[in-house]
Amino acid sequence: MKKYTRVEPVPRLSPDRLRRSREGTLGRFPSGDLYEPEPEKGQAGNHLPESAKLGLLTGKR
Amino acid sequence: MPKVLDREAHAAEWNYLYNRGAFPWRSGGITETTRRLLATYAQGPRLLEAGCGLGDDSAQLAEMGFDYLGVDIAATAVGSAAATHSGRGLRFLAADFFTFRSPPGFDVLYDKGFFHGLRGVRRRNVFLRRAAALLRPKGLWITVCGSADRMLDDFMHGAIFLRDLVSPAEVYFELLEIVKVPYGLAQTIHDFEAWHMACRRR
Repeated sequence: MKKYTRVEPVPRLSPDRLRRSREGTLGRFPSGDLYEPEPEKGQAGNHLPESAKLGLLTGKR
Repeated sequence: MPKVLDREAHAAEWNYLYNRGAFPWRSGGITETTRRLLATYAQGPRLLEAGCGLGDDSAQLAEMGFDYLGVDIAATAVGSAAATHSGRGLRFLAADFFTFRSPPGFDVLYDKGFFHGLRGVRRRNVFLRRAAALLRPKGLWITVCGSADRMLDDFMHGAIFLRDLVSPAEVYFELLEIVKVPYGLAQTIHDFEAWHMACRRR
């Protein structure tokens, strides 16, 4: 019969704390909320006109 | 450049906080660790402090021989700093660190509680790019950031795990030394642990 070693649970950081550290929201800052939220991944450049986006994609200006 | 809803509103908010007369984030001066890091690694006198606030660290830095320029977006704080701390080697400027026009070539960039207060990975990257651009090659960046390991329950403060400080910084900087010691808050009862990181521009 195959024997398994029991792995004891060990303390670890919660994913939420790690995420908040990465995003800079772990503490409280006096006026940080004035900043716009960051654009979603892949959404950067959406404020540009279509022609500019096309230029960025193709390398043409 | 970080996107701000309204830069003037951002400045106004800080001015309001300074006018309010309570500064829980106020620095108690440079820490002994900062002093040692500067003495060990700085290779020139031109020093820029990002987010100097009331200039609580400025006099000590000037005493160390640095040609000090403090920049803060809150004109109220800068005015107070200039009135309180006047002397040789001390200059203050009410301006946005991210956009103010300055000749590059600083030997040292120092910030205490600026980087750890930036929200968002992209914004931190913008800070680092800006920091590298303002420093001369091999220039020194010293930052003091609250540690996320043991956060206080009764006092909220900026906090960051080391990997979120080191990982983006290494793109532009060579790490020299990192120490975790008390932040050096003016209200010592609330003092918390902070990373003191010295790194050199690539």
